[in-house]
Amino acid sequence: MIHSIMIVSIIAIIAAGFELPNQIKKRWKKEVILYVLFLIAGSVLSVYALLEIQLPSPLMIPELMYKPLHRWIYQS
Amino acid sequence: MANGKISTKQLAVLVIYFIIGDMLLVLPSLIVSAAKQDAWLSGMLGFIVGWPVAWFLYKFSRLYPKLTIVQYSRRLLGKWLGGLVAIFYLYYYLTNVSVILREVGDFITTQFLTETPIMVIHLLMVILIIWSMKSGIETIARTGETFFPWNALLFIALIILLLPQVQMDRIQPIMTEGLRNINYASLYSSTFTFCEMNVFLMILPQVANSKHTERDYLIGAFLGGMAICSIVMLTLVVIGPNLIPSLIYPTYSAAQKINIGNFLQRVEAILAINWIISTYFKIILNFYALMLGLTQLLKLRDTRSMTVPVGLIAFGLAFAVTPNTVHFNYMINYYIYWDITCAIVLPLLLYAIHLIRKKYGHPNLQQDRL
Amino acid sequence: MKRIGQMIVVCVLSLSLMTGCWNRRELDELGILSGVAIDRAGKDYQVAAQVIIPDQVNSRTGGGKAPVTLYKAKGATLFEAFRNLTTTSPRKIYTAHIQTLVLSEEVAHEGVAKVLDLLVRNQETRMNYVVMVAKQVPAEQIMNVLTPLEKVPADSLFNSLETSSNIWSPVSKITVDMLMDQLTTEGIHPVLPGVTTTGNAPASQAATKEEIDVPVKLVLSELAVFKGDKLAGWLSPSEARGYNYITDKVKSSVGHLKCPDGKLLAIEIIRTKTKLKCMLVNGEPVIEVLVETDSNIGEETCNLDISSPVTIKELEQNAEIRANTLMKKSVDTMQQKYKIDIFGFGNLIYKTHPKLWKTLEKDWDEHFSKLQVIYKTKMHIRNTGMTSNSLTRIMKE
Repeated sequence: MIHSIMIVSIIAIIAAGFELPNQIKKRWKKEVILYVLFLIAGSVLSVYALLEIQLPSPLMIPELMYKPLHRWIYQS
Repeated sequence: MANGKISTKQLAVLVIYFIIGDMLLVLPSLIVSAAKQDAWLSGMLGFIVGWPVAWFLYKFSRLYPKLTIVQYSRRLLGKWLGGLVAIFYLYYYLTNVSVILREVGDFITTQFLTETPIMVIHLLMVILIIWSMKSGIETIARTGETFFPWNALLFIALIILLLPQVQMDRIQPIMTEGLRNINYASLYSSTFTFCEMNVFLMILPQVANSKHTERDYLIGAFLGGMAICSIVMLTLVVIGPNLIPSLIYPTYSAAQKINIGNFLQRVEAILAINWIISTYFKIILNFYALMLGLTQLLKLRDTRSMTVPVGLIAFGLAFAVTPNTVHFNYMINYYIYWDITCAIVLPLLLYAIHLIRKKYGHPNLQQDRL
Repeated sequence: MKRIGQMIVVCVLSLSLMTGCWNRRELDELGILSGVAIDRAGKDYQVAAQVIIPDQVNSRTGGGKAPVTLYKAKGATLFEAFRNLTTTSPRKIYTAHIQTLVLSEEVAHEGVAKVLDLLVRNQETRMNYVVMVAKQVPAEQIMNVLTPLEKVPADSLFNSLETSSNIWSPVSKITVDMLMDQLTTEGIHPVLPGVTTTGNAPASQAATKEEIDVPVKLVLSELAVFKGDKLAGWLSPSEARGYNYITDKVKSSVGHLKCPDGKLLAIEIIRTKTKLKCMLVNGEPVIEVLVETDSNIGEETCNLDISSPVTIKELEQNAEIRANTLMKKSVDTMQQKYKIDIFGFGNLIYKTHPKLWKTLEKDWDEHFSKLQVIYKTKMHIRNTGMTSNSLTRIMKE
């Protein structure tokens, strides 16, 4: 478990190290914040994936949206 | 914002790749289990119904030639409602990326590298996607143009090499399955190929304007549709409608059958390369649409800045998509509705609003400020 | 310069990724399987695997030992039996090059589909190997026989099946995908070639290279007939040839005709094509079998004058009657003795008259036993070989 978190954080930090200095130098505040936010979100998801913990699938939303429609079509 | 330019020929190639996408492997099983030996009719019906959809999408994007759908949905519906529609589309693109990534991973770990964890395949694909994204859309388009002749050659070789194994009587008896089954199966071949082309609503603004754009786009869509029809027909007559529903990758099993004079055999891995390349293009176009839309929604100054984080998100989601392949096949059924929503329902709504607004005169709609 | 450096780095990185190290299996860790025999041992499955010994197959390093070796193992399921092979075999069994699968009669009686599931689900095995049923002997004994011409006996079985089904039509080569096709198609039941051993020397593990004639030989003779996936019976060679004609499996073959003076004349069939047609007579299906054949005269020991066209015409008619009789014989056997449709007549009805098939499909085997079949053969004798009139005829003069 610790291994996965370490690996992902190392990758995340390396990626940030390549991109963030450029953005900070240009004083792009919004980009930096969004970058860090998304990076954290991506890292969390990747850690979950590496640990093979099942998260709710992104396909749940279309399933919820269209299940009634699907049922209605199949009833007729 | 999007400072890339694609030529119309590259657009046509990208369209062909996109339509074929992951269908080479995934479609025959779905369509044959619904329509059995009439699956070829469903394939053609899907093509006939889907091609006008592709045309409609093109015409729709010409309403605002220099804007992507994220931009003009906000323009038409206002900042908040349009933003919601944009987020809907972006979520669609993100899910597309994760789902297709997962399909590639599943295929490789089932067929070739069975002991490799699926993460490794996903990681390699994600690295490739991040790298492609950083290179820009022109590079992607040029890659497509470079690979295309080889892919086309391999595809035609597949068809020719399988001709000795074709048994045309497998499609008999014709039309006994009932029109309802044929229609339902044609939904698969029209939505998963043509309706998913709403991704091009984000990409068409990048195409260099020329009077041949429409013609090349439509030719690409036509060739892609023909390729899909021929794959469905080929798989059907080589393997047969009885065995296909229980095979998970029927095209691959068909390619395993190639045997010319006991000499040219066991070449199916080369066809797998074909599939991976066309799937790659589908992933990268979806990812590009996602990144571009994100940039436009959040008003970022650079498209390429968020590539790595979003890539990581896609990597994580690719695993979350489904716990196993069986569950995946069940969830795929809802994709039909989603595709139709994004390709037909929402654009029609936006079109209606566009007409309404035009009628009541909002002069700044036609400007492209971005 | 920097560009070249970048390119080199990229190439090296890509190369390191392309080696597929995670899933690597070295060649000397694999036991390449060429043939498998599946038996029942009590409640378990017994698997006998014929594994190739690479340096014995290679003619340079090969010596006086057998080129293959046999490993046997038992298991409650077939998969476990395969895995148990590793208790005796030093290498993991690699099934991608399998040529022959032999099933014992017991396994065939229970049902072939159960056995096939493992091999089809496995992603290593392909679907182009042949399946046979071992008659009267346990399947592992088939795997135990050494063959002189082919180094690997399973290859020998495969090749002799292919050759004999090409040039001598009693048996037909049925590969796994054909078998699966026949199992899942409606209106047809599968058949499999039967193999047995002749000679009664003890199991020849050590090759006796002192004699030319090997004591134990493999013989492909009868055709196993299945109802669904369970073995139902056997067809003798004379009955089986009709089957091959009707299902258009004959590529070339030999047959004999009786001359007026009682002696025999052999004709060699070069090309034959069979077409099946289904017609409706008074609402009942009638099957028409149309065979069109090109042949040559292979051996002639009668006193006939072959150089006259009239004789040839007579011979052709004779041959047509004979072919019709052959086919009728096998259809009659199947209709009366077994009541199983192995010819695909039901499938033909399904394809051409689907609505009629819906009424017939439930008790098709009953309907099949009463089915009327018309045989029409057209035989063309094209040439008479290198000589026209035979030696016997010239000699007499």
